[in-house]
Amino acid sequence: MIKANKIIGIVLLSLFLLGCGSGGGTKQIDYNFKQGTSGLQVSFMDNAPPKKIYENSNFNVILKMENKAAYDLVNGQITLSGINPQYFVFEKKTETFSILEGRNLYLPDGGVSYIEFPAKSEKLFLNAESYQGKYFLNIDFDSTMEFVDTICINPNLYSVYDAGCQIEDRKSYSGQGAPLAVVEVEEIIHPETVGGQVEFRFLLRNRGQGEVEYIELTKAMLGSSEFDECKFKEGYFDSKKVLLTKQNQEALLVCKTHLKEQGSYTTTVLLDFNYHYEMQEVHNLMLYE
Amino acid sequence: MGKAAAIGGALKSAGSKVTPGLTGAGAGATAVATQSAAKSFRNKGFPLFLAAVIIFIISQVLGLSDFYGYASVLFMVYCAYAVFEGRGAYIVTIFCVWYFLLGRASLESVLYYVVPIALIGSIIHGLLGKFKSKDTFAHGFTEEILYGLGAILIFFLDIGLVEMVSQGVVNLPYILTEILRLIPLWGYVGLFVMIQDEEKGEKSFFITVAKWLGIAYLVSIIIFASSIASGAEGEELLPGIEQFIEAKETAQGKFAKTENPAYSNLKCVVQGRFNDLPVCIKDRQDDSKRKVACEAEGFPEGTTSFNECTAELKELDNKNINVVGFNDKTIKEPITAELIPKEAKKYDLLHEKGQAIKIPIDLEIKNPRLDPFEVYVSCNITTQRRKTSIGEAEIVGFENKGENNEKGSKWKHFTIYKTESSIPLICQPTKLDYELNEETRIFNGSYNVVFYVEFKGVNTTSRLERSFFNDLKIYDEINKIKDLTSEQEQELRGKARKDFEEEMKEFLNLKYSSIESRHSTGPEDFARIDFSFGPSEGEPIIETSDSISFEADVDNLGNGKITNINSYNFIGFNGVTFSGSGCSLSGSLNVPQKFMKSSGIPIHLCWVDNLPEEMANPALGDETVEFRAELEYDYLIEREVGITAGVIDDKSK
Repeated sequence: MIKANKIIGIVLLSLFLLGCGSGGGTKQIDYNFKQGTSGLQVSFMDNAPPKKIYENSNFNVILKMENKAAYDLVNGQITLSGINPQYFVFEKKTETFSILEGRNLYLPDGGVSYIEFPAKSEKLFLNAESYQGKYFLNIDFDSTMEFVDTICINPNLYSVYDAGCQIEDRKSYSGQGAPLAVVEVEEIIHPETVGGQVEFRFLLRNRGQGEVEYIELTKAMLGSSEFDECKFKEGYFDSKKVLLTKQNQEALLVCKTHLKEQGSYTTTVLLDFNYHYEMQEVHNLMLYE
Repeated sequence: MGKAAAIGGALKSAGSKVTPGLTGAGAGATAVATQSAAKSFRNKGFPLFLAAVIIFIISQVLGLSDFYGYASVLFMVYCAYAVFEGRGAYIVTIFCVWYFLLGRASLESVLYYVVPIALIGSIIHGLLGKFKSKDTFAHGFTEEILYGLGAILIFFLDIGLVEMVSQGVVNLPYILTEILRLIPLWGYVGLFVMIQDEEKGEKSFFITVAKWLGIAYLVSIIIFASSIASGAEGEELLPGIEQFIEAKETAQGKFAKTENPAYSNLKCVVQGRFNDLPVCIKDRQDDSKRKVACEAEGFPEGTTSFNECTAELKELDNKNINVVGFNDKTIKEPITAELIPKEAKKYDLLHEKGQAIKIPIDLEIKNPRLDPFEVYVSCNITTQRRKTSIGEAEIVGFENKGENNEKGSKWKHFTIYKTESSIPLICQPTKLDYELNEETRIFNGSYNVVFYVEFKGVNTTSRLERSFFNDLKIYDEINKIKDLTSEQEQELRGKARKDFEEEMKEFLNLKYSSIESRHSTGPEDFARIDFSFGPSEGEPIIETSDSISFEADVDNLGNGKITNINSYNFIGFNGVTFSGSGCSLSGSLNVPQKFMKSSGIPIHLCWVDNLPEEMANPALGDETVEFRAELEYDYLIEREVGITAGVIDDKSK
């Protein structure tokens, strides 16, 4: 009896230890931040600027910037434009930041930065009672985005006996943790008879409130090898860079490579992008006598 | 037969209706013409047509508008009695008695007289018609109303109602006012009657010719109508005939002697200017108006000063500036001034013989910005009908400035120190054209007192906001891409340009969302200086590659006159250079008479050569600049009040 209890106790303890010990030294919580389409969130601090600014007074415009994307923002510039200097004089109208960290395990809410613009109000026009000064808050920065997915390659389209993975002709995605997102991937297999090639068509789209100025492809891997060819449909020269317009915030990347194996297999596709992003908001400064 | 007998025979035949010496076809044509004229004369419309046309021509050539006005009364009566065959005659008769003899003075008189006039006249006509068994009462009643009021309406239209209406109430098409100003309306009524009667009887060559001439004249007036402002004033419910005529003259801008457009048409045709006939006629009309205006200023034709005057007016006309501006809604308290009579309508003033008459009025001034302008006041007393001065008058108290107004009365002067002032002004006659004594009935009747207030050195400022963008920077990113073909580069540049334009459109809609924000704004004082700066008026975004124009004018916002522009000054244009000469950023302007009441005294129309660096190449994407325009001017307001003066009888004491 005592022997049986000992055995049960050892088994239970082993189970406990096994449960705790799995993962080989990795973090206890694994959370994929690279999902969704969150980006930079900007807000004003309370009373900065004040709702009512009086003539000949000092005030501040203080921005709180939170990076909710999963990637760092770099080379950032914040500019206040459209300000009428007859009524509001700013010591400086531009500020920069070199890096604002993205969300990660150590910084799950993303990096936060405060930018301050000190200013002074002047007199109203003649005996006017108020003045509404509309101005623009312009923010632009560089950032990156990474797309990773496991896909199936099956060159034998007509094989009945290959019970390998199933190709998904078209897959949709809800974002990779940045305002620029790969939203759709189309996989086209060209059988041996026509060259034995696989072609991927990646549709990128701006899902944020701002604008993507350009996208640059910096890395394109299928498994452990680079794609034979990758170019943006509307790109120029080396076609690894595309300029987007206001009206068209989408880009199509076409990547092709030769198939090395005869049978079906799953592998990883990895794309890295750089992009330049611009945001603009309009706000008011209200001057009173 | 001897020579004598032959001469005697010729003389004898001269007594006949046939022209002596004419035989055969010539004699027949003359007979037809004479018979035609005789037939026409029997037509009731003919005397009206002939008289109206002749009197119209005489009044136009000699400038006797008054004469035409009174003749129009006779035409109205003739029309009611003869042309309309008595229909409307009672209403017209009673109307003449009320209008001319009883003075059609007040609103009460409308209720007491006009309505009863119409009713009584119609009832009389209806009853008489019924008793004579010619007609039913209702038919007679209706006819009297329609024909009577119709004749009265034609009378008012003929002497200037349309000009008054267009000035005070609604905006009538100027072509309508011009047609009615330049055609003898009664003449056309007569012509219409003649044509109608001719259709019932035999054709008349004379009527046919008159008809076609009438149509040709009407068409030529319609084609060459020109816009003229009217400026009639009147205190009474229905202005007197003189006031209608004055309105007509005022509507002509005191250009009663300007060339008739039909004559201008004829001259241009004779000159062979068929290809640009309307331009030729407009030029002749404008030259004629400038000529009359300069003569009115006291410059006789042919003198150097006359030539300078017409050249200056021509230059002002050619500028053709009309800049849009708006009142600044954030300035709730502008500078205002108003002359407020003590009595709503007329003053009834009783005085003892030898006692001075005093006519009061209140001058209410609001000067919230404490602008240090000066106030000059004077007054004048005139007869009610003819508006002729009965002597000299002055405002009691205040400092005598030593100058007289255009009517000869002294200007008094004071300065305003408060934001709100209510100043009582008293007008007193100082010297009359005839003695004030107990035998002479002076100031025992109806007169008009005109108060003049001139504000000298009034200041106002307007502002205009503009945003400058360097549109050439949009190609910076494209320039970084290497080895583009020219087609690719062109395509990219096209896309970038389109993108930029979208961005500008968004910027415009967000920053300059209201129409006022795209134009200059200023306080709603007596006058406002409006100016524009940019690729087009109302376009607040200026790109580096744009052609930029600069325009300015002064708007009269009140009912008075801008008598002088002492100075204007534009601020914020440091570093901006203009093409050509004559575009200075400061100056002054003598305001010609015809522009004093108008909206749109032109100041500038220039093109920009170069912008300073901060506007041409803004450091941070865009540069927002507020330009300002300062104006100092003089402004005159007038107010007329009616007085009924009476002398207190000694026995009543």
